[in-house]
Amino acid sequence: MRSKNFVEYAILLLFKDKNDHLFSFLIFSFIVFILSSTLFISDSLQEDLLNSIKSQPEIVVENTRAGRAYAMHDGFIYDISKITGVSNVEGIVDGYHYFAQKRLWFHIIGDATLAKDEMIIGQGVKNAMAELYYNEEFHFFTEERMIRLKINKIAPKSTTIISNDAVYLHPNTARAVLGMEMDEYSKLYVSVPNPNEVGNVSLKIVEIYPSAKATTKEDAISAVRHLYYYKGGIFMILYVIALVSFFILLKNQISLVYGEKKKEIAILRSLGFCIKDIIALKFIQNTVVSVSAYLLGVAMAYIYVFMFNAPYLRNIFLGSELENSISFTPVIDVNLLFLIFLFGVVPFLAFVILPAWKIAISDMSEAVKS
Amino acid sequence: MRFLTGLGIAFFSLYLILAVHALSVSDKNKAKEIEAISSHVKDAKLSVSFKSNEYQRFVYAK
Repeated sequence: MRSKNFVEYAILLLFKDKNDHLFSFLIFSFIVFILSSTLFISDSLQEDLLNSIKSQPEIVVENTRAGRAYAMHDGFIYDISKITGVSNVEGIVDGYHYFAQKRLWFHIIGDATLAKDEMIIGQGVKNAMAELYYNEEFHFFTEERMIRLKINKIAPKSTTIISNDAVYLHPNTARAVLGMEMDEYSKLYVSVPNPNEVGNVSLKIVEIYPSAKATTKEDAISAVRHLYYYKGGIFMILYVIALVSFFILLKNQISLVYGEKKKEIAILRSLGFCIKDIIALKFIQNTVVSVSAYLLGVAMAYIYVFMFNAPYLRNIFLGSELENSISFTPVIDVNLLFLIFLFGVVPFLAFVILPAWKIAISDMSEAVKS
Repeated sequence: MRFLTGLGIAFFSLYLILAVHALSVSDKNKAKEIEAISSHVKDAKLSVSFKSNEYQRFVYAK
């Protein structure tokens, strides 16, 4: 255990050479800030999306033709409902409407709980419509006619993660907007009460309709988990490259600084400091620098993401064409923060201690003479 | 030592404020509202500006 005075002296030296440590402090806190911000955003989005698919049916069926989404008819519902284990099949209307004046796509979703002339829109859609003075009602221009609908309600701001680009309409109105026939559906919700039969039923559906895609609830959950999977693969390689580049830069800079400070170290040695003391001195200084930089980086990332809702960075995750006023739910993965600490602070100290040790063991008589 | 104590107190206060913020943000209400929408629109998707690159191809060049 080092004495109090020794620690005091290490801090005094740190202040004396503050310009030398400022570079490593700023760069390291910036790296921790970027890394933590990205992981905070992806964790928060994942949490909200997992909440939103809780009520998803066991299987969602979508049809394709020539590689594109294609409508299904009542025959699909009849055939699928005859599969053993299926309790109910529900046809859903869902598609995209191009809002040419703003060059945006609105997600049209059929909602049977709404009346035929009712419309609920997301916050982003509301803002886009308001820019062209569609405040009370909106005109959908289709191939055949213009459909005029009243804007009844705006989806709550807290639901923008799933409703920002959405326009909820009665299924028949949605069909009219999307140019679909009355017996056509975009998706089918298949209910399978026994969870052990879900896999078998989805295989049977694909067997009957080879062009159809059957997505189980488990598939949907794993898709959400992998949507912003920034903890592995190419992203992990990028993190490692950024950190290694920083550490090499840090080592070079520290070697240069300590090289200039050789005389100082030589005087300390002549005063009775042993190699262990010199290393301990540098260890204390750099622990203060790296831990402070880490704590500051994580705190700044929290403030940036959860208090200011990550301006600029959120556009990378959500797209910038439609204004998204999303608010991120604070989700903190302590294990991950510990991992960043382990792979950030520990190598930082290792890369700094190495040059200090090299200089401490070199011949001091030459340094004192110069 | 005074510097280290000051630094410790500064970080402790900063993290205390963040903890208070994290606890004060009512995510229960948010979760309820999201669940309310997804209860009748069951196949909820992340609301991004474009569903996929295929859709972007239809947009006129800006």
